[in-house]
Amino acid sequence: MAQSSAHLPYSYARHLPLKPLSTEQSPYSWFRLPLPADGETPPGAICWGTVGDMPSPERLPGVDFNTVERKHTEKKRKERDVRIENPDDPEQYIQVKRADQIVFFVSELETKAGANTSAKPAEGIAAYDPARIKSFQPTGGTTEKKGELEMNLKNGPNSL
Amino acid sequence: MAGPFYFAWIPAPVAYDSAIHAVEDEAIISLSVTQSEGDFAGLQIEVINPFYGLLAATRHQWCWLSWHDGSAYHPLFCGRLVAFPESIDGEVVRLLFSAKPPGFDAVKAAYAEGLKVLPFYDPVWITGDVENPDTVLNAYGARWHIDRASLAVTHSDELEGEDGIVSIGEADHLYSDFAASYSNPPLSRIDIEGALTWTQGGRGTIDLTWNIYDIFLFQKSIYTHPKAGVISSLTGEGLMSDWPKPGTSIDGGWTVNAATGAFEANKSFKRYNYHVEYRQVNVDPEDPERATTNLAYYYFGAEGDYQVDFPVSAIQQFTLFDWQADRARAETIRCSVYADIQPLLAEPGLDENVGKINISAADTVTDPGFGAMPIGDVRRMSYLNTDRGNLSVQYLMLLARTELRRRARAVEISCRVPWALGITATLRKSAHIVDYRLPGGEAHGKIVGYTFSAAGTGEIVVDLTIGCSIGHDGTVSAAAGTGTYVDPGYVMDGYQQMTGAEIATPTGDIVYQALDTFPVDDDGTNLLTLDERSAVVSLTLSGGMDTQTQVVEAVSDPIDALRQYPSRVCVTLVPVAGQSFNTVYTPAVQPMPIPRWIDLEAPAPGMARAA
Repeated sequence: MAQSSAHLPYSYARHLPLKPLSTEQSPYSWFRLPLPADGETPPGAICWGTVGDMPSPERLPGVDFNTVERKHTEKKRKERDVRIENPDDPEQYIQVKRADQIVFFVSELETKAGANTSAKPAEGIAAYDPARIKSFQPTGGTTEKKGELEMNLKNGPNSL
Repeated sequence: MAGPFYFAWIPAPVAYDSAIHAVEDEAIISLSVTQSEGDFAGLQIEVINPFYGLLAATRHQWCWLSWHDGSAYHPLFCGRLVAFPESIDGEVVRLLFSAKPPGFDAVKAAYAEGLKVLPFYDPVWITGDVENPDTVLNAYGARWHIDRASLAVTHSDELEGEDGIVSIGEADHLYSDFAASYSNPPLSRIDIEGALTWTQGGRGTIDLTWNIYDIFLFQKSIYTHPKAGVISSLTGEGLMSDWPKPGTSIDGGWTVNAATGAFEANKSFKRYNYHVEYRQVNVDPEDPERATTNLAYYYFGAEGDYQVDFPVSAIQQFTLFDWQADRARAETIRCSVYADIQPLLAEPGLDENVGKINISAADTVTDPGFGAMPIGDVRRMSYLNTDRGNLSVQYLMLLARTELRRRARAVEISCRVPWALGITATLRKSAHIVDYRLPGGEAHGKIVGYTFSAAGTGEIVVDLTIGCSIGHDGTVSAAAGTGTYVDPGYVMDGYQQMTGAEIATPTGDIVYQALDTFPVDDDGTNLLTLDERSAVVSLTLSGGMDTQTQVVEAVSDPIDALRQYPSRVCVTLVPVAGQSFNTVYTPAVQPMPIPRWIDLEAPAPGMARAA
């Protein structure tokens, strides 16, 4: 039976069409404890806990073959001057520098457990069902793996 | 020495020494020594006018009066001149002396200190001047006694003499100088109403850190280290920032303890994100409702796949609450004490035959100024049913006892006895008199007054007045009750809970129902044992990890959904301030036996007593 959005329990009712109606009636609504109205708090009673800051969603990445993010920074190169002439008129030429070898700094960002977090997992996660256990992902940061890349280029004669 | 009466002026009271004091410093024409209960003995003598001022600074103002019986000296009176001349009649003047010891008030006060013994003296009930020594005797049923010769200050029971009995046989008193009279009608009962008001107090701290840890753990907090107290939440930032602040009052006598707080746990707790991927209709920022209003947009261009990582907070929390009790308590004891007396003008229902004791006191049971605080611990919910409180109850009973016994001394017998016999009388003695005209032929009683009279005419006599109580004798005994807690003998006395137990006052003549069985008006909060278990009415957590993870997995907009399921802790603690309680005890009291010093119900000689 169709149901108008006015009868829906949550403010995210606009997403209703994504799911069958039967799942829209959240089974968790009964968890909520109503806050006492102002002035009705009995003596000796106190409640605390608010939403606080929430994370922002991100789009899931699409198809991407770059599995590793690397950054190359030129360190040095060996080069020589090459004269490039007009075959029809050798007087017409330009002189460029041709690299025979280039050495790069290479930095590679790796994701791993942060330096300040324990290696020992939280035991309480084991109490969850397998589907949710997978959702617990250790937090961590990216570390930079550094190295050098030497490229030797096979070039022709000094002048063309 | 002439004698037999001797009068010596002395500078100050000293022990009688016949070698010194058996002199006739004044020529006595007549003398009279009189004393009545609670008063000083007085000496009135008539002497030949000495024609000089007896109050001159160089003269002695104290005297010793003694009598010689032919073989021994009898000191009769030691006192100080209080009036001279009281009367001038021809050449004769009358002198008055009083047997009031020097520094009487201080002496009496010092003696009274020794009488301030529970339950006869209970400052819990005494309002006003607790230093007044006269209040000490209120529950003793006694009067002050100042010895006419030694000037010793003591107290003496109103019905029974402590120093023996003067026996007056039929031939020891004059037929014509004998009389029996009735004083005030006796009281048939005393209605007691005693009320104590005080404030149940106390303070302490309860630590709910582990209660909160447990309830988070119940909802699958991921940190289970048993000693850490670390909790987890997907809305930890809001939970921490909203944690109760030290010093915050939550009413009911509760305040957030200074050590309370919630902080990011140390890094030894491995941190996690809870990762959720979901598909959501893209919201057109130009038209947020477009997905619901534009069918084409919804089906062909509106969906997107998203991910969000909710940080799982590891929160080190300390949650403590201070309590300070402030509860108004009133305890009232209502009972009646009946006197088992002969029915002399004592119609039980008549108002004039019913005495009343109404007494109230505020904040005395919690006053530490009495040496030890009567209630012992201000956290107690009741006082009168404690061991100390029981003594306060007994004090009220003893007040009633005093009044009933005093009024039961309803018959007074006056007689004149020979001098030698009479001068042995003091107001610390009883007397037994035999006279066939009395009902039962005899009477017993406390000597309540005497007059020694001697005159130059040769008439030396003693008039005695005896107060006789009109009880039925008898005794009472307290029932031990039946143990209802454990088998008899299993525990020492005091631990067993007894039903039907009775308590006797130290005087042994009042027995009343123990107060243990009376319910105490209370809300069930025992401040003596208040802890994190008994203090918590409810402790709830909404939005625990289990709930939050289910919610974010089950909905199409986990961020928005989680906003409706923040971790929220609610604590309700038993109120310990602001209440008032009133407990009423109505113990039954056995009829109080009174000595039968005279038998007004005696049968005629030779006949049996009516049943």
